[in-house]
Order: sequence, then C-alpha cells, then structure tokens
Amino acid sequence: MINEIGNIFLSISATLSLCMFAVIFFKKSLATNIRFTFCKYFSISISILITLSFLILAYAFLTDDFSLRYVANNSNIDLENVYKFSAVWGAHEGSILLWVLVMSIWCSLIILLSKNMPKTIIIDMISVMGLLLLFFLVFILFSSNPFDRVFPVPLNGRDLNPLLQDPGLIIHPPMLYIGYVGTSVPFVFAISVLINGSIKLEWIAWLRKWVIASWMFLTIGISLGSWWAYHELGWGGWWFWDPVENASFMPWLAITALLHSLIVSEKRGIFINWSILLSILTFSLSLLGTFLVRSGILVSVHAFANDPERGLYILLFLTLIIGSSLTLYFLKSNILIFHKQYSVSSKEFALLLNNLFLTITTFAILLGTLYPLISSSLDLGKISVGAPYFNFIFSALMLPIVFLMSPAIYSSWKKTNYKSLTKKLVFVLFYSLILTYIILNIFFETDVFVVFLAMFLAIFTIFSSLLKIYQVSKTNKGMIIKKILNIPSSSFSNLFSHIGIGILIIGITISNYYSVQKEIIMQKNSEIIIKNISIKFVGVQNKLSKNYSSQVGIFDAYSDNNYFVSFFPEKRTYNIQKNIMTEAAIDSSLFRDIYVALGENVSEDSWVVRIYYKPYIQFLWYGVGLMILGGLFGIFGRRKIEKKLANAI
Amino acid sequence: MLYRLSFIPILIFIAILFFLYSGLNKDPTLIPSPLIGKPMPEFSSPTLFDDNEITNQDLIGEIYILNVWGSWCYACSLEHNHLIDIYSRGTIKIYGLNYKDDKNSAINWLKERGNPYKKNIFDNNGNTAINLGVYGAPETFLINEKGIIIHKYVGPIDENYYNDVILPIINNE
Amino acid sequence: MIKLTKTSKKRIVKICIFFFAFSSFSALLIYAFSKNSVYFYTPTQIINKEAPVEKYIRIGGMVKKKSFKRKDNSLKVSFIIHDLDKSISVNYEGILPDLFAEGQGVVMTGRLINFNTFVADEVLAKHDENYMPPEVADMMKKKEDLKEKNDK
Repeated sequence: MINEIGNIFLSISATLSLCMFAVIFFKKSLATNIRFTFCKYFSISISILITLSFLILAYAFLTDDFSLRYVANNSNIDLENVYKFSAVWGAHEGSILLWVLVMSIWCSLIILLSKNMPKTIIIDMISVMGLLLLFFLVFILFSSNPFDRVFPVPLNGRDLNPLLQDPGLIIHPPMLYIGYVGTSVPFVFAISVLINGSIKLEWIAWLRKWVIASWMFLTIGISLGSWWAYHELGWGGWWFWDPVENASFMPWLAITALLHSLIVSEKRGIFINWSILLSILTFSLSLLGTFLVRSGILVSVHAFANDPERGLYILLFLTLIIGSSLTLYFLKSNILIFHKQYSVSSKEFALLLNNLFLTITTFAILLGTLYPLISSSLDLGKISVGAPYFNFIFSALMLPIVFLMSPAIYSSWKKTNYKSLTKKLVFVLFYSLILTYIILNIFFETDVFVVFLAMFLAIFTIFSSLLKIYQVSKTNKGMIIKKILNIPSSSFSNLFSHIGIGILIIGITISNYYSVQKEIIMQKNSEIIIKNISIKFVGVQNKLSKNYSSQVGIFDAYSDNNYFVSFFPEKRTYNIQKNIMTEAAIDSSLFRDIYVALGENVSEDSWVVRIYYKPYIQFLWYGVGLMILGGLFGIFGRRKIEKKLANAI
Repeated sequence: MLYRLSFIPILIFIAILFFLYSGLNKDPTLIPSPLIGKPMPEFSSPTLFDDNEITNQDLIGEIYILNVWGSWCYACSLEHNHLIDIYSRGTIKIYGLNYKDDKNSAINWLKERGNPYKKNIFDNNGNTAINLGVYGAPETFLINEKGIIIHKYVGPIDENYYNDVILPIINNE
Repeated sequence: MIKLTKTSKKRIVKICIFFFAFSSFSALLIYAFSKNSVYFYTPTQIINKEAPVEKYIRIGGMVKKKSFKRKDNSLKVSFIIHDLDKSISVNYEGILPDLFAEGQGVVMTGRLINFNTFVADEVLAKHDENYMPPEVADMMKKKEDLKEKNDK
C-alpha cells in the first residue's frame, strides 16, 4: 500500500511540474506577484512530495520489501543497513529518483534565496526547471519506476552490486548528483535571461554563488569517486579515463571555465554572451554524461544496465532541451554583446586564455570519449583511444592553464603596469625555479624533465598565491593572523583553490613517477623489501560475514626491524552474485601510502601479491580539500564561516 | 560577426547527436545465434535429480524446447509460471539446462515453484551452455526431431511469445 | 600602402592569435589521435590475418574452458580466447582481474607476435556474470548477416 502512495506522490509531482512550467505562459494575464507565489508553492510541494516518495523507497529497502522489483534486484536480507539505504541509489531507477529529488531541492532553494533578484527572472528560471523536472518524472513513471511490482514475490533479493558495497560509494553519487544537477541553475538562468533579453551585473554576482556551490559539489563527488576507485578496484590507480569518469569530468571543466568567465562578467560587464553559452554547454555536458552512463553505449569498467530504450528517451530529451536552448541562444544572444577595451596584460585577457584552454580541453576529452562511437558509425573500424591519449592531451593543455594562474593573480583589470608585473613575476619565477631544483635534488634525485616542469608549475602557483596573501594582508592592521584573516573573502577563495591545485599537481606527479610497484608470488612466511620497509607474509585466514565470505591475508610491516603496522587485504566472495572482490589494505601517512592487495591463490601456501609504495599520494586529497575550502569561502564569504567556527569552538 | 558564429554550437551538437544515435542502435541482444540450422552440440551431463548421464543423442526423435535457467537468475523466476503454463498444455516437451547453479538450490527451486521440465541437464560449470553460445539465463532454444536448432530467444518468454512465435514454428515443422 | 587604423590592427592581431591557437590545437589533437588510436580485433579477424602484427591493439573474446595454464608458480599465464568460431592463444604476465575466469568475456590490450599468439599488457574482465564484449557481439552479428546473405 505504502509503495502505491510513493507512486502517487510522483504522479502528483509530475502534474505540479507541468503546472509550474505552464506559469511561463501567463506573463500577460497574471500579476508577477501571483505567478511568483504559485511558483514558490509548486516547487516547495514538489520537493516535499519527492522527498517523501524517496523516503518510502528507502523504507522499502530497509524493511526488505522484495515485492518491489527494484528492491529485489538490488538488495538482500543479509545486506548491512547502511548499504540497504545507499542501495536506494545503487542502480538506474533509484539514481534517477535521486536526481529528481536533488533537482527539486535546488529549485526550491533558488526561489527561497532570491531576495535581491527581480521576480520575473526567477519565475522564468523556475518554470524552465519545471519542464526539466517534468521530463525526468515522466521518465521515471513510464520507463524507470522504482515502485514497479514483481510477482511472484521473491524470498530474497539479488543483492546490491558488491562493487557498490563500500563506504566511498555511500555518499559519492549524492554529491556528484548535487553537482550535476547544480549545473541546471546557470542553465535556467541563461534561458531566463535570453527570454527576457536583459541582464544586470548584480544578477551575475548572485548566480556566481550558485555556480561555485555546484562546482564544489562536483569536485567533492569526483574526488570521492577517485578515492573509491583507489580503495576498491585493487589496481592502486585513482583515475582511469573511463567514459563514466569522463562524463563527470567534462561538466567539471566546463563549470570551472564558467566560474572564471563569470568573474569577468560580474566585474567588468564583458564576456556575458560567452558566459551564457557556457552555462548552456555545462548543463548539456551534464545531460550528456547521464546519457552516456545510463544508455551503456560506451564500454566501461563501471557496470551499468544497458538499455537502448531508456537511452532513446534520454537522447530525445537531450535533443529537445539542448537543441531548443542553443537555437534560443542563436536567435537572441546578439542583445548581450558589450564591448570594452582591455589590454593583453589585463586580468581579462588572462581569464580569456583560461577559458579558451579549459574549453579546448573539454572538447578534446569529449572527442576522445566519443571516438569509439564516431569511428564505428563512420565505419573506420573499432578504434578507441585509451589513457595515453587523455594523459597526453590533458597534460599538454593543462600546463599553460596552470602557468597562467600566477600572472592572472598579479594582473589588474583593464591594464596592468608592465614593469611591476614583470618585476613580481620574475622574482617569483626565479625563486620557484631554485626551490624546485633544490627539492627535486635533495628528495628525489631526479632529472626527468616532465617531473621538473610539473613540480616547478606547482611550486610557482603555490608560492605566488602565498606571496599574494602576504601582500594583501600587509596593509591590514593587527597581528599576523588577524592580518591574514582580514583579506577579502573573494581573494581568499581563489588563492586557496589555486594552492589546492598546486598541491594536487605535486601529489599526482610524485606519486606517478616515484611509485614502487611489486607484483610477486609470496610464500607463507616469506618477506619482501620495498623502499626500506620489509613486509612479511604471515598467512591467510578465512572469515565469514553476513553476505560474503572472505580470505584475509595477514602481512606485517617492519621498518629497520621494528614492527609498525599490519595489513589485512581481503578477497571477498559475495554469496548471492558470486562476485569476487579485492579489498586492498592501505597504510597512509603524510608522505606515503603502502598499499597491499591479495591476488590469486597459486598453490597451497603461495599467493599472488601486489604491493605498492606510493609517495605523496595523500597530497591529492589535501589539494582537493583546499579547493573545496576555497569553494566554501566563495559561497558563504569569510565572515559567516568565521562566525560559525567561533561558535563551534 | 559574433552573431553568425553563434550558429556553430548548434552544428557541433547536431554532429554529436548523429553519433550518439548511431551508437544507440547497436543492441547486442539482437544477435541471432550462429547455431541456428546446426545440430545441437554434443554434450554429456548428469541430470539434476539423479546422476544418470544424459547426452544429445537421448533427445533426438521429437521436437522440444530447451530452456536455460538457474535458481540465481531473477528473470527466470518471472518466466517460470509461463513455462508451467506451456507445460500444462502438453503440446511440446520442455527440457531444462540448469546453468551454473547449485544443485540443492536448483532442486528446491523446482519443488517450490513446480517443475515444467521433463528432464534437466545439470550444467554446473557451464560447458554445454558455452557450446550453445548462451549469453545468460534465461534463454530458450527450439530443437526439431532431427536434433537441429531451429530457433533461439534471449530473455524470458511468456504465453504471447509462445503463441505468436513458437507455436507457428512447431506447426510448420 | 594601406594605412591600418589602430582598431583594425588590433583586430588582425586578435585573428592571428586565434588562428594560431586553433591550428596548434588541431595539430595537437591529430598527433594525439594518430599516436594513441587502438584498433579492436576479434580472434576470427586475427586468424584471417586482418590484424597487424607487433602493433598495439585490443582484442576481445571468451576464455576457452580448460585452457588456462600457469607456468610453474610464476605470474606468467597463458590461455586461449575464442569468439565461438576461431581461437588464438594469449600470454600474459601479471595479476589477473578478480572476475577473470574460464568461460568469461575478456578484453585485452597488447600486441600480436604472430597470427596465433597475443601478448597482453592489460586484461580486463567485465563485472557481469553473462558478459560478452559488445565488440565481439557486434562482429558476430555482422558475420551472421553475411552468412544469411550468402545462403540466399
């Protein structure tokens, strides 16, 4: 009975979304205030109804209601409760429901946090959001309904895909979806502006916070996905340029570009036309990503249902939404062109280059991802480009972007005084070069050019950002800490994020070039030495858990003959799906990870073992953390965060 | 000039759509079996309920349905009642190929839900299924009295499919 | 001599910069694609000598039953893959993915040392009980269509 209620709630939401969309057609006959009130109540009730049906589905999972086909396919009596809950979004139907839930909440937030915006703009934004919601709800109701019944009712479920039974995957999809769906905010803003034919700089300032928020959630989502891959896939890698990963990375690149072009639009009133187009493209890439993941047209290591019919629906939706908004852009964008002079040495120009490179990078990744499709439909044979293509093209295009960060920080709007800019840059450049040289020689004894270049860029970025913090704070009064804390939050936000990027690059470079990897067959009680650490294989024990049985390897690690840690890598066999999963054991410290994974059992006492020594890999997560912190500063401003922190302490 | 340039995104989008659409049309479930028109591959396996060997020779002589199933297979549970319906009409015999299954759970499964199969080939390691080019359970083959495979379907079958597709083939033979 | 105004000079510089950026990007892309394109082949195509030897390629198929061998307790393994028609043998040294098993579908990258033997650098198995690489499925469908035509 309760499941039928969930279904009814979804149907009502679909009807309300239709009504919300219809509001756009009553511009002349209804007063703005009335239309605004309608939108407000529609969107809030939609959020509430979808939240309730989401909770009903969660309840069905937690109470093992296998009369629902979706529950029967993705859960099991013996599944842990946490995973029963996260199984709600573990497969297609539930993840689309999560998508709609997140979208309805974004929609309500827009309308609740729109005090300084003109109501006509907000109404059009919300109406377009209503259309998007309608499409997804119809999709759920007619081809992906999680409340579909199954008869006869199975006694037990097919279990959740064991790959997804990992802490990283509990919050990875929601974060990613919040980010994905967040890209719809600039999209509906762009449509609304194009319809209304006017734009004000305050509106862009308002939009920028939303863009930063969805950028931040995308960042969190993608990095959690990497973290999960690092722990769960057992290869010690964290990024594979898999189509599914690219699907989330392309919107990230596009929204990063948007973030930067919006700064110029807000401060200088130019690039507005471009920002609008970029808003449309970012959301298009999010939809495209959903299509690629859900239709299964590209081969991926991540397993998802392959369903051409669903793919066709999303493709139609994609055509309609993106096609009509690009047409609208084509027809109306000429009203948004503003010309202002700026010189090559200006901040505007630096950000223009940033956008150029980010867009090109996005395009190159899109091309590589779709290449198998392109070549097969043009009958060129089955061709794919793997990680080498992406690594090459990505690093080639990223180098100039990272290099440009420092000049961009030091330059000013309109025109920068060449003399002082070069003076500062040469100073930073010189010391960064020396610093890089010293660090690499002392710690890594390297002469690989690529490593030197990447490390130099990272140090250059970090150093110039720190120097900028020092310079800005110099004019403030008080103690050093107070001086730094009084920096305007906008520069705080970008400097933090840029330092984060620098640290990220250090992590990527060092862990890529100085990892030590051993794949060997180990006998019981044998030892192996990796980077001054000796690892002893003690043995393998069997362990039984609720829904899987596992073989647990025991390894003791000694540094200078002193025992310091044990590793317990597992090989799990899940009872229902009979899948075998590797759970790596990782010992992390500031400057290195030791990673042990158990392979096959070759003969009675000997096992294939994979051991990695990965220096500086933790810097990846620190870098991402700083980027997220930068995002938080950007959204809430420094003062609010300080207050919160002060209250918390 | 910028005004005319704003047409470019639409062109790129149309090109991408074309490739996406062409990619969508490649549905792997549509492949016909390479074995249609060929004799049933040789096999020799124990049956599910006793350990007597059953071979492809034993099945030659009359037209029959071979249904690939497993108790682990969710779609098979949906198909099962339809199979029992077909069985109760008595027009054609159904043999089962129990695929990659646990013996006890397979037997329990049939005890719980009823047994439409005349006999079950117990294909524990999936060897026979591999020779038949099985994608996954459930799959249904139609084999004529000379032991030639004349039809194959991937996915669960029901009465409609039986009436509209399988029955006409049987009547033609 | 034509005198250029300041704005048209600037415009020319801008156009030059964009043209330069565009062409260097295209060059970069073409270089990256030509260097990293990896072709996919099935065992049948390899036996028919349609695939290049000693070039980096991808192949896919099902692992043949009872063909898996490990060389005396080392990481060196060999097995045979087939596409229900032809089969070729594969050598590999390293850890196999969790889902690697006889009878399962695999996709591998590596190179051919002759038209019967493939040396794999990387082996991927799909996370699905009933998986066949789509490329293999596709090739089989094509083969089937061809056969039907010939029969008619």
